[in-house]
Amino acid sequence: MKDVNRTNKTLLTIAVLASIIVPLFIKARFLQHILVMVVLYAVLGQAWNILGGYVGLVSIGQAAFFGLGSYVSSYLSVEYGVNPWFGFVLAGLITALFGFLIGLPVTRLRGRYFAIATIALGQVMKVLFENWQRVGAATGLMLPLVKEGFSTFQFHTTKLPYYYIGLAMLGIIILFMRYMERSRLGYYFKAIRENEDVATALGINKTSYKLIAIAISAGITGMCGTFLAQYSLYVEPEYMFNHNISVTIALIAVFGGTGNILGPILGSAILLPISELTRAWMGSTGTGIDMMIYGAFIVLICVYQPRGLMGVVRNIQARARAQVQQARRGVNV
Amino acid sequence: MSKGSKLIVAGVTKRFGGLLALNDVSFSVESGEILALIGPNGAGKTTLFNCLTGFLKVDGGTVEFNGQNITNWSPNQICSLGVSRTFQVVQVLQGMTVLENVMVGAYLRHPRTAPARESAMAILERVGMVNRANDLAVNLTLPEKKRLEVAMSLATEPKVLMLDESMAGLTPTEAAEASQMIRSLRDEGLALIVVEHVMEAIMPIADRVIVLESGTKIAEGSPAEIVSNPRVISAYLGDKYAKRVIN
Amino acid sequence: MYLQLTVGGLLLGCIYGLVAMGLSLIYGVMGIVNFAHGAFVMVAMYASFWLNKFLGLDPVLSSPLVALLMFAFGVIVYHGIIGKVLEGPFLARLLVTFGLSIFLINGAQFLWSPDYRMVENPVFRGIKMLGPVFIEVPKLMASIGSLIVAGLIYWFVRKTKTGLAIQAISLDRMAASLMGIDIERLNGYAFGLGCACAGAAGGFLAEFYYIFPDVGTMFGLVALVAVALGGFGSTEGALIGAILIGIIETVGGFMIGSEFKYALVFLAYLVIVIVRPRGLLGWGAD
Ligand SMILES: Nc1ncnc2c1ncn2[C@@H]1O[C@H](COP(=O)(O)OP(=O)(O)O)[C@@H](O)[C@H]1O
Ligand SMILES: [Mg+2]
Repeated sequence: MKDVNRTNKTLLTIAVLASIIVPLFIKARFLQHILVMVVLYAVLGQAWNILGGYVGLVSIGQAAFFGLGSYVSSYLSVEYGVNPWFGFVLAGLITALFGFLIGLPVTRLRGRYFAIATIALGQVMKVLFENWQRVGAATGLMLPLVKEGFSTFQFHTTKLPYYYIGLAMLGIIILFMRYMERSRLGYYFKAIRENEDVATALGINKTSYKLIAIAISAGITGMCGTFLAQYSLYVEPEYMFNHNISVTIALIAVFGGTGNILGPILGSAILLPISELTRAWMGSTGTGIDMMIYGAFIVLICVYQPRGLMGVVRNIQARARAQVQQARRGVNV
Repeated sequence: MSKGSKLIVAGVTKRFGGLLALNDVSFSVESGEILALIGPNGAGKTTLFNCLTGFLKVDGGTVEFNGQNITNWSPNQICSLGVSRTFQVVQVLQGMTVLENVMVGAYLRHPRTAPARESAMAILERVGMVNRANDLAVNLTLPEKKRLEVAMSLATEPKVLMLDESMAGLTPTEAAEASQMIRSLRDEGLALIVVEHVMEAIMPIADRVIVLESGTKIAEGSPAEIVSNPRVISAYLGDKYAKRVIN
Repeated sequence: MYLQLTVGGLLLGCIYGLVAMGLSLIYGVMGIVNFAHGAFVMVAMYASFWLNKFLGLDPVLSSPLVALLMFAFGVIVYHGIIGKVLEGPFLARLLVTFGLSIFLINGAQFLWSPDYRMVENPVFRGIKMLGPVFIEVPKLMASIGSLIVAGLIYWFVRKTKTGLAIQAISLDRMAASLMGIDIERLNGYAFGLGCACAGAAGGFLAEFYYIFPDVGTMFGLVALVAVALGGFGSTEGALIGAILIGIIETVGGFMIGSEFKYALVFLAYLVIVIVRPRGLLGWGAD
């Protein structure tokens, strides 16, 4: 057991160091872009995971929160010159509040009714923003180009700072989730996922905990929206409220495995490069073949890897454990 | 587990559409007492539990606990107050380990993890499941799941514990162990309401028995009174059991 | 005016109803929420378009043929994909049809470009006065056709041996398999039938609607909302839900602006399931 812990710790240290140091040597802008997308979607996957993986409320409408967050900071910045970092925090707070308010009615739904409600929510938000003149309707908003630097949350010469900001976000959310997993919050979340009746019979106020989960998930997702807005320096409904964002986030969770911390990171680290690369190789033709491949990929994952990569890892671990036990027994005999 | 708690049920009525599932049911139970609740299938026993614990809203009547009117409170509030129940169709948190299941209950009184874990372990010790602590609940046998469910309820440190057919399907030895456990809980000052079909197991330990039939309370009394009550015999126990008791 | 709009909504609702019925059938039998249903409608519309272009068949008249083709397509999709995830986790069952939908839509774009197309020389066209209301002939034909197909499917499921077997599966899988029903084969048929509904609807729509890769998405989503509104597992509910949506869409769209009409439909869904978390006529687990 101790050995396992030590190897795990070593692996973790290596992974953390690598994620910090290796990117420094990556100069190609496209590779940097992929790195940024990987950390961004790892964070989005974790935010989804809190709601879908732990509490069991499967959302296919995270784009609603994502888009809202991106618009909050962008609108404040364009209209009132508010510093994007302030907008970033405010986006988190406002989308969390929005998630909470939406959650009041919606968390009463379960399973597919909840999932479809989130889809509906995503669509409604998109339509509303497409027609809201104040925030630029379908054309959206262009963020003013200013001097690059940490304080302006804009970087033009290299994409690496975005990567490190994203990595910091990922680090913070991982720390939070480690805390959550070992605290009452995490246990209660899982209890609600496993069986709502049992949870309430044991004194858990399921409504409050679901609301906490959707608020946290929405808030983080909204901050990611600000992040992407600062990264692309424009927001428009078709881009920020795109349904594919919602699907990709959920897919990362399926692919990586839900209800644990590593799953979304693995899922994002593998899926995003594939999706960005196919887009880069074939997307420019505008023929849709990149998305075709992506769709086929989703189908393949669901058919052949429905329990996620973490499921595979666990199977291997279980097999290894069984072998060790067998070996021990062999020695005893 | 403090002494002196009292649950008073007065005139509880519950309808499902046209069906009168509970009709003006009244009784009370207090600390240090085992109240057996018996009645034929479909009599309304589970429904009564659901009404008392907030899983169903009553259509009439009141439930009072230690002087507080808790009628139609939400289940989690009622549990927080100290009234806990198990389910007839066993319900555990399948994807979590046995220890985690019990910890979820223990968190109610111990918000921090270390004390919750300690308390949960103590309860596992008590129900004899320490060796299963790290197994997933889904891998337990049915009797084990029932035992786990009782452990989870106990972890919320209730003053009133309601068990819905917790002994059904147990071997005689297991049932005897369970009876022993119920007794010792009573001796610690819990109030227990026990729904049971295994008469042999419940009658000897019950302090008082109430009988439901078609949603109506038809008798209440000591086990000896109940088994000799002609109405009960015809309604529920049947001739076979009556003979056995008389012999 | 409102009578006019309501009639328009009713006609639209009938077509939605056919799409929704297929969705509901698939869901009822195998518990799959088919997010690719809209893409199936789109595929059917292209099939009608090409049949028209190369063989000169009118979409409404060729719709039985398209439905048949879509039936075969559905059976293949079932055995190739859907049947393999039925035992999988919730999320995989939910997302697999998303993938399929993305694949089909972009496949259409790859093969046939994103251009908008329209059937030339449809047989049914123009507007007729029916009492005080104007009625677009192709829409009328489409909704009558939809009702006929819906009736046929209803008859098939309730009265034929295969249909009853399919129903048995949706009621109790275990019991059905114990009674010697070949679940895999019948699931395939049910999925095929669901696709055939989308196919027939696509055929009717091709008569008067623009055809482009993304055309089905809204039909699929709206049908989904109709099914959820009616309550998963209730075919009648799906039909009622669909007609309700048709009316909300046309009347509501007129009142607050047509750009908001779908937002209104989704809002209606949110409101209704919040009041009735299992839809209007729904039953069963989540
Ligand atoms: N949720 C419900 N909806 C409708 N009828 C119910 C419901 N729950 C129980 N019933 C009916 O109420 C009656 C009492 O059931 P129950 O309380 O389970 O009986 P018992 O536990 O004594 O066997 C039965 O006739 C049962 O069919
Ligand atoms: Mg019962």
